[in-house]
Amino acid sequence: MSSITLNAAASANAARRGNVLGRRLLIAAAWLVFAVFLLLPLYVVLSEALKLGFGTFFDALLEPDAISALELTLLAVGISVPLNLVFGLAAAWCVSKYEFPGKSLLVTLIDLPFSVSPVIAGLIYVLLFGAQGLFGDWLSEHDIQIIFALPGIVLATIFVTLPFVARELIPLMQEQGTQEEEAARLLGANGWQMFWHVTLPNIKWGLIYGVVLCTARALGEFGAVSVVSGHIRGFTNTLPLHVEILYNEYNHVAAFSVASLLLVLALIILLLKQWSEARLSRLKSDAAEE
Amino acid sequence: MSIEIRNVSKHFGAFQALNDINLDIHSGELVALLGPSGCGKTTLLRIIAGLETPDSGNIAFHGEDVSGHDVRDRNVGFVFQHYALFRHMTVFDNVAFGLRMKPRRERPSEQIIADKVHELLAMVQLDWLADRYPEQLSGGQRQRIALARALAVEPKILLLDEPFGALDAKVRKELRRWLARLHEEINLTSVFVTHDQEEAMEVADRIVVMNKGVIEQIGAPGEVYEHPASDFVYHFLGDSNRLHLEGGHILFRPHEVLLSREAVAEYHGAEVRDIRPLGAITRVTLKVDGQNELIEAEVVKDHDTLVGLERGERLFIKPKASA
Repeated sequence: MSSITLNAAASANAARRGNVLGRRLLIAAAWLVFAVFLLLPLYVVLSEALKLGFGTFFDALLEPDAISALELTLLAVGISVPLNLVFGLAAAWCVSKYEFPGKSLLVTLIDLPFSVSPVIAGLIYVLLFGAQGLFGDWLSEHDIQIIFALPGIVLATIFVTLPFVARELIPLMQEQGTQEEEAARLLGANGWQMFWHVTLPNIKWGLIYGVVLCTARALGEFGAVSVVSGHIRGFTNTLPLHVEILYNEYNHVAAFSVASLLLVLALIILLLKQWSEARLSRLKSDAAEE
Repeated sequence: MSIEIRNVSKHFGAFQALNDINLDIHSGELVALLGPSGCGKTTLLRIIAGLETPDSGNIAFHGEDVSGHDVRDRNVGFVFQHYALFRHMTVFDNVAFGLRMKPRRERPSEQIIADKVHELLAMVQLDWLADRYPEQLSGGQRQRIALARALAVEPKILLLDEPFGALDAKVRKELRRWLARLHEEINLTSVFVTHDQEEAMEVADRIVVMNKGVIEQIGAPGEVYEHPASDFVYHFLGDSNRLHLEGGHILFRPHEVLLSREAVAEYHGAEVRDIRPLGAITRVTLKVDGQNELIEAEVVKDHDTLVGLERGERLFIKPKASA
């Protein structure tokens, strides 16, 4: 009896030793990949940016073109993210609370910006709103500039970041169902009260997570914006475009300095994402218990 | 407040959920909508509440046609099978919700709301849980909170959709007796949906038996049990046995049976397949000669024929109904 127990324990131990070895190898490999592909570039960006000291670093950031690029980027993000929030919320609401023909088609189409190359997205807008484009004549008659101006940059950013909020909310709202909303209506709440007191608190963390992802993508968007912006320094250059221009001019220190600014913004967003994700997973495990 | 349902029909796609339903529910009555799943009982309840719109027909509360009224203007209390408590609110806030959502002119002060909420929580005997969240409560507690929440806005009608369906057997029995007592106290016109005939018999003043979108029978529990209007009602309201005779068959309930160890005229010979003591009664499963369908007989546990009875022995049975 005791020898059987011992044998079993020994073989379990052997299995565990094997597991431990395999586990350590896997963890080491994961860290290695992480270090080479993520940490090393980070280090290079920062070390290149600071190669000539903090003086040149800050000069590159405080240069008028850099500041106008930062302003333009924040403006484009500030317009496109709220619009996508409203759109994502509306789309998720329709999909999860109503039955209508073409619903699955709509859900598929929401994902379109993920599968279309951003460059093509930019080109679509040039073909529509450019001087030679479909609406080009009408727009120039009315003196409206979309391509090579802020509206084009905002449109391109909206297109590329459109799915984030909706994608995050649709499964969450479908899982939660409509009963709490029905209960609220039966208790006399009007549409706005129902949304504010019942729906929004239930999807809050999913919404924040979607907005954070959307913001991250909008900040860094290069391809689509590059096509529609026209690269006019001090006017239609966003931060990623500004980095590229500086780099092409062999102004490496300035390029990496501006890049590290983007990096800091990205890290802040990453922390926000981590925080909202933790709250969201708690919410989901609660829902699963129901 | 009475409810009058006139010629209500509803279909979802090709599925006919309700077919020309007519039903009067009297003021202060507790009525059960009883039927198998898919019979349309929940759809009918949701139409009364205004959560679904009928394709045709109308609903009147106390003579006033409310078909065009929005859910929030109907003033009905509704209890869901899965409680539908607001998960991010405490028990107190859940119960206070309906009062706080009232238009500013009608909204009571927070002090009055607090008094009212504590009064309701005391009524459902859960005052000590006011600060908890729904996820911290058991199923039975959640359902009582859901009931308190529905009653907070002083509805004229209370609708309950399978209110005990998600609870375990013991809690379910306690809660339905408690609901029947509560209904006697507050005397609110109530309609509840169930697929459990025992529950309907125990709680309701009247039972509406439904099947495939139509009403099969309406009547007091004793009436539908003793005088079922159709084979469907007979089968649905309790276990039934079928005994084949020359030129047809008869139906009888497990307890409507006479047993004997000796062969008697008009009794049918049978082999004992199983003996199950179930507390006050004992169930004997029998295979009657010449038919494959088994018959279940239920007799009091100290019945003479049970003494020393073993599987495989012979018994003689006779349905009481054919006496």
